[in-house]
Amino acid sequence: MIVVSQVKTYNLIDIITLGVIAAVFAVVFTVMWTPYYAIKAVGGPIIARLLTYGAWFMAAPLAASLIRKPLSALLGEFLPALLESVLPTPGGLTNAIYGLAQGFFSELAYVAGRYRRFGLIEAAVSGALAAIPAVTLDAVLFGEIYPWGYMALILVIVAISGAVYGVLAYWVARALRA
Amino acid sequence: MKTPFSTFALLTYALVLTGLAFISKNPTVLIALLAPPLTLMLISGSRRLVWVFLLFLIGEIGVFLNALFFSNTGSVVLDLGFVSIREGAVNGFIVVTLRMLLITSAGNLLVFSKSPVDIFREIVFGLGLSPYLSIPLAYSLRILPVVGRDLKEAVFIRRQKKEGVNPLNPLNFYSITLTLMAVNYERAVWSGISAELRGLKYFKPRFNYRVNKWDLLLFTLLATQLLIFAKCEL
Repeated sequence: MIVVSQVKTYNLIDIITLGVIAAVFAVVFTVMWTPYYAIKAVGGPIIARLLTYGAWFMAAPLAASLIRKPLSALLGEFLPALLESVLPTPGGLTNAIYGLAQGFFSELAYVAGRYRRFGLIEAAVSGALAAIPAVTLDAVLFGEIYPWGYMALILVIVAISGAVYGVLAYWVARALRA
Repeated sequence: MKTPFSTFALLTYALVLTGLAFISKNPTVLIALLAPPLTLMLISGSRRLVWVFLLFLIGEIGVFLNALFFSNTGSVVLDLGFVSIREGAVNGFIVVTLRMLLITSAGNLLVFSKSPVDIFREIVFGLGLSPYLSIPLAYSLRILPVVGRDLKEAVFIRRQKKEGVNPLNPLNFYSITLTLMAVNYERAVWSGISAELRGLKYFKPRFNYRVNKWDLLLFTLLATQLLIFAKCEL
């Protein structure tokens, strides 16, 4: 008979897998700053967010789809962001704040299923939910405040980007678990 | 160039200034907060500093356009014929620029002065993190240069095979991410087994910090900046 509490605790393979995700996505997050700013300068904030923002949300659904335990999405997003904050990027230590908030919201997609489902839909929703804190923090911390209709559009665009990258994350995790 | 301050002092300094950056809206206060870390960062920086500033400048285009479209109120400052730049846009641009510059300076002062190993040792020991956070952070720090090398090799091989490397293409992004994760996941599994056998999960970090004269100087500077902030903002 399997005891649920044993299934949901982390072993060291899970913990070190989080370390791998942290390292890989710290590199990915750092690399994405350049295309984000380049596209934003040329195409504006909407296009830049549609094409790049989801990449910053991808670590959470990947970690959750791979490890499949409570808090894996939160840790999977926060740890790479923490690592990214000590690499030279324009965001500095704010990256950790974004990571914590995005990880928390991504985790909600799996909380809703009581941690019984770690499928494609949950990964897409997890990526999409991270849009809420990302857009909110952009407004609160960096003054990126627009009229309400424009803000709603940005939120939808970022959610779509997050959902697409969430699906990519699920496929990566599925390929690794195969 | 390394600064004489300890990692703990620099980390505290960076965290406090980053917090103040989000609260302050007064350009004079932001300049008073910004001047020391910016100076120190310029002194301790490297050629990576050029890259960070280049990205910052590119971002400023977006900040300016944002201010021009959504904060362009008040008296006219500059009339270009096809567009009038008003006081609101200029103030908004200045405040956001100073805020971002302060955040960048405070964070990158730490990054340019200390190695990631020192920074994380301070985060782990100074903050007393649990093994569930300290072990993955320590491991990720160790393999970060390896992951960077794996990425370069993956991009090189894809170019040799005439395959795309543009990260904006989802298929390229998926392929490169899968390559990085596949190689490092295998390492993680075997490292995890090895760590279990060695009893690493019983690791408990201990905090050990001693103030030196340079740290006292930095904390005095921080206290002065906090007083200026409190006097002008509160």
